[in-house]
Amino acid sequence: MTLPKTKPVKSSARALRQNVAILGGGIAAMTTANALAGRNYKVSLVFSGAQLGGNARAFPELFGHIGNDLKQSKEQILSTITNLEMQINNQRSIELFPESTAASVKGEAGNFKVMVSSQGKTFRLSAGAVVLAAGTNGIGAQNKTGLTLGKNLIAFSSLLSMIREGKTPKKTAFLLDGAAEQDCATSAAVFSCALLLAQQPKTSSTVFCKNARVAAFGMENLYRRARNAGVEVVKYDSLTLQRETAAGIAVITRDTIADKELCDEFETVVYADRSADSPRIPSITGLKTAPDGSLQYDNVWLLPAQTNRAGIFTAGASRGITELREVLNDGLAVAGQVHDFLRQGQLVASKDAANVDAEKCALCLTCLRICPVSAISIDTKNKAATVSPYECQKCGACAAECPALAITLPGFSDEQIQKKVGDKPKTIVFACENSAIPAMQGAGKLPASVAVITVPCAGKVDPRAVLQALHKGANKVMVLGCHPESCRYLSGGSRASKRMERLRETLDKAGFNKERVVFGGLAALETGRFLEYVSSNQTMAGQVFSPHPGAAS
Amino acid sequence: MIVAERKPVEEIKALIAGHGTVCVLGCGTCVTVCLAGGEREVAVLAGALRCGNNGHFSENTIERQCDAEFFENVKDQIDASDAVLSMACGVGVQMAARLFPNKPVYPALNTKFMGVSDKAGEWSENCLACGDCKLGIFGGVCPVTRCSKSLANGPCGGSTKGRCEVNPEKLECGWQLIYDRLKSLNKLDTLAEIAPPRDWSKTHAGGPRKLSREDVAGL
Repeated sequence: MTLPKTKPVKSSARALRQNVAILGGGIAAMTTANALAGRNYKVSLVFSGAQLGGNARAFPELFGHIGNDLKQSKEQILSTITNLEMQINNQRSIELFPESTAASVKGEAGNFKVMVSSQGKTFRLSAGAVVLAAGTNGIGAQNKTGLTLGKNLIAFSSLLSMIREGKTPKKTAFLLDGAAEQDCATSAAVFSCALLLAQQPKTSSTVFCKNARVAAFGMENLYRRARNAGVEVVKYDSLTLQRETAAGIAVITRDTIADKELCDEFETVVYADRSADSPRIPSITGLKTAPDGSLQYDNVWLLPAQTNRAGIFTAGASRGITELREVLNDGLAVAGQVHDFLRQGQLVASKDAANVDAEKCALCLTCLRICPVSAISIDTKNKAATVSPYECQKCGACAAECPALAITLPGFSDEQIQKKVGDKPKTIVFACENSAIPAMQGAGKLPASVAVITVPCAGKVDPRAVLQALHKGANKVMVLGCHPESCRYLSGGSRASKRMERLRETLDKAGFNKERVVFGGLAALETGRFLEYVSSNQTMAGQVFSPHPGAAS
Repeated sequence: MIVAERKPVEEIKALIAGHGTVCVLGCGTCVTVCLAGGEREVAVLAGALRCGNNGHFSENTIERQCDAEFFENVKDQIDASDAVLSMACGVGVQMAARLFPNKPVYPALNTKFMGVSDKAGEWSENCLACGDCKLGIFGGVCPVTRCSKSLANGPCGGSTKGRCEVNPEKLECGWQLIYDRLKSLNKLDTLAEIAPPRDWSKTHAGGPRKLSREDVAGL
């Protein structure tokens, strides 16, 4: 007897290329490259300079906090760069692309295509993972003084060139914290530079700041050395500049310590805030950045180095790691997370990813814009949104937001939710499986009147499902999800909280007690809080809602 | 697209008060895309009104309320209702009123403007349908719409640091945008020419506008 031949299972897995493209050539990029090579990955380093070393090699004078004096600090940073460079040169698996810039990163997790322009030529690099390590535009790149740079108001980098050419200005002011409070690395750079000036004959310098940041090893020492050498520090809360005065440019401040107005004139004023944005990064669809311009969306689940897009990571200054010792350690952390991603070998297409009914899709782009992991794109042939089964995390935010009801998350369709809601009067708790469900585990037996419906994320909870539950007789509907800032799916918790607030307002104005709909944030360990939410509901028991007689459901 | 937002629920309640069954009718085009009047919004509004015991509601959403043919599928449902609460723009509401002469038709939305979506959940007005498009000489930025005063020859004195004095927090100065754009195109000399006064008869000032295409009309 011969058994019927079974059809070979069609492979629905995408292999992950076992190599990494690192965009940047500074210390963060170099340490990441070495750490990845140490884990046997092939690495391509794409960087704009002729040599590795980035801003640290360009401005080695700015690390005054790492040694006992400026000369020693400079030697130390240069030898750090040389050591890293030697390690890289000893790694055969690291390929260098100097004087190159990446214009775009296309493709998908595990198979990215990086378009690189190098010395007049353009070529494509394929990589399983991409590390963005091009840092920021550096200190003083973004002048926010409202005045245009010119004779007396100059960029930080111009000042450094002037010092190197021996054209040291006699009286210099550094403006810090103009746009936002600056970090230690910026303080280190500014105080190093101010000290450098103060050590020249017949020169003086003043640092205007809201706070002198000294919370890094060696910073306090650098600060004291600068003060001892004659650097003045003014702590201000408001500051204005006035151009074309007799001596050059006037800085008018209110000194918060002396509590008085100060007006002093300078030959040169240097704007020294670190530019928050990273214009050197290539164009990447769907990369969601933090409000301060950091390339890493602000969420605990992405730590240490993951961006919101699978397979794309960030190292060093582009996510706010700027102090030298932290940068040196960062490479290991980034490489570890890249390794965790690539060692899966392949991404398996999930069978229960969100799916789009192309007939119903109105092409409004809402799903594509709100997907936390940017797993949605437009299928131009079908003229509908389409969800990548490799990248979809199955949070369901898209399904709950689609205005045309075109998206379904398998397991959580309208019918399936409705079935779970049932039709007995009770309290319905839509509980996020990442926070409310684990928090419930220690809560013991819940009152029989409480029915818990597990959802992948609070962001999946559709206002229609809440209304249906009320309609079926629920006396209260709760949506319990992660605290918005630590949502497993980045924005699901805050989305759910705002969505439920809108629904509550609508219900309130429609003449319905809005307190019967509640959003609550909690963490997986907060069993007490879970019980608080659920028991506060008990006050509502007995007020059974009766829908308008004859109303359609 | 046409951008709209839901009216305050109190206003909607006052409009439909006293009617038995109200058909809440969504529109599948612009107002679905701007998240104001598609199938989901119909379900949420009808559901909330039901919860507040504001009457009986039936629901439906058609492809476009600006074309009569699409109402064919909901004719029976509307006939069986006492009123229609249209979640379309003002155009759709008027079409529904025209098609059902004996049925009260109420708007559930305020039609705001023709505009772009800047990102999820944010929209900006970009066109006033003035009927005489001059975007070609203004670098693709409309002075009629983007300048609060619809000035045709440069900004007023209320343009500060690129913001408009009418609402500096929210509004960019349209003329700053025109200037910046022409500068990047290296076409600033275009602005040396005085733009003649606009022919406002081509706008709504000349009465409600009609358009006919004889090559398409017929039969």
